[in-house]
Amino acid sequence: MGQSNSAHKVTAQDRAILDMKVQRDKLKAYRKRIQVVLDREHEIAKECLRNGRKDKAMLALKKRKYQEQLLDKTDGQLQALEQLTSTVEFALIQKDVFYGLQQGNTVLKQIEKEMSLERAEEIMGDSEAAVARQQEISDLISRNMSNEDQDAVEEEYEALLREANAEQRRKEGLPAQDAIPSMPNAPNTEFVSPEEEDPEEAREARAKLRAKERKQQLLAA
Amino acid sequence: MAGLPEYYPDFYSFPPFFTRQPNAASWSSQLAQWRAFVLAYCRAHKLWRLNLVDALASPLFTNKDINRHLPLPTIREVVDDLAATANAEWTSPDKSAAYIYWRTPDDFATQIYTYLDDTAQKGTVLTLLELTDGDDTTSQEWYGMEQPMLERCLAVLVKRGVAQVFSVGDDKGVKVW
Repeated sequence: MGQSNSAHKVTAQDRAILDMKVQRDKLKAYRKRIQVVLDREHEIAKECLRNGRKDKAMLALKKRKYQEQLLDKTDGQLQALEQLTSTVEFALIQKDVFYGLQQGNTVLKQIEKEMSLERAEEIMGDSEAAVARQQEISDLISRNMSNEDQDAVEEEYEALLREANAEQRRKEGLPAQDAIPSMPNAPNTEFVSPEEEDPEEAREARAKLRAKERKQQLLAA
Repeated sequence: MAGLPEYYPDFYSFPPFFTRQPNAASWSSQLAQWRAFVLAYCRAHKLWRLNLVDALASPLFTNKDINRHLPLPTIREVVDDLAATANAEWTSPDKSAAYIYWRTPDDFATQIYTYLDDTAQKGTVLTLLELTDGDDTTSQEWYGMEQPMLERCLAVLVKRGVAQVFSVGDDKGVKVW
């Protein structure tokens, strides 16, 4: 329904099927005709018997027998014809199924082509290269920085981190610092007198430590 | 009105029913009665073709009990009126016989289409004979319909674009989508 008429065409197969079905109808009509003759011969035989004409009755019955054989033959032919028709119709359906399978297969192949293994490797390689490039750029930038700059960046980062933590705590309704401040570790270094421990020196010590770390990193790379 | 099937109208035993009424208003109501009766009668008897002369003598147009019959010209008028609504179709120009569609070809076409749809026979080639005289359609209303009538009904489906009638030699077949 709703489709244009041009999509529906009577094919050569349709004509062949119609031809077979027409033959079937004709055979059925023939069978009907024989049935009528059978009934009539039976009536004639009865009539003749009633009139005492035995030979005529026998003749009618013989004729009837012959017609019965014809009827059997007709039935056989009808069956063969109907079988053939069904086979053709089934073959047509099979053809449709085959076409459907073919279509599905084509689509599947197309989709597979769109995501081939090479393409996948290429995409993965691309992203790897991008990551590597990113790393390179990052390295390049940090190499161009003096150690002091690097320190400043890290100090700033730590300050930001502290600030962010404090912000977070404020939001959660906690005091800016832990109620119980984390306890310092027990000293495991040599004891130094307090006058030696001036903040300037401590920062320098930290910077030295970081410089050493960076050197190790560079060596490792 | 004892013994008459229910599709007989009450007017059937009323003598004026068999005389064409001169008054236009009376005639139009009488005509409507006759139309309905002809269709109901044909439907009940599975009559597809009405030969006017034969029909004249049948109980349809003749009530022996009251010794009345509808005159032939009036019968012709009734059938003419049926033909105007596609419920009848003259088989020859001399108007001696007509096909009676107690359902309009449109209705039959829809019935046939629904039947083919329900029995999953869309896309199958069928002979016209198989539709009107096949073993599978005996319970259908159009069973026994005359071939030209069936062709007329199928023409409706063809016009709707859901069927195609084609022939092999003299024998016709139809394919419905």
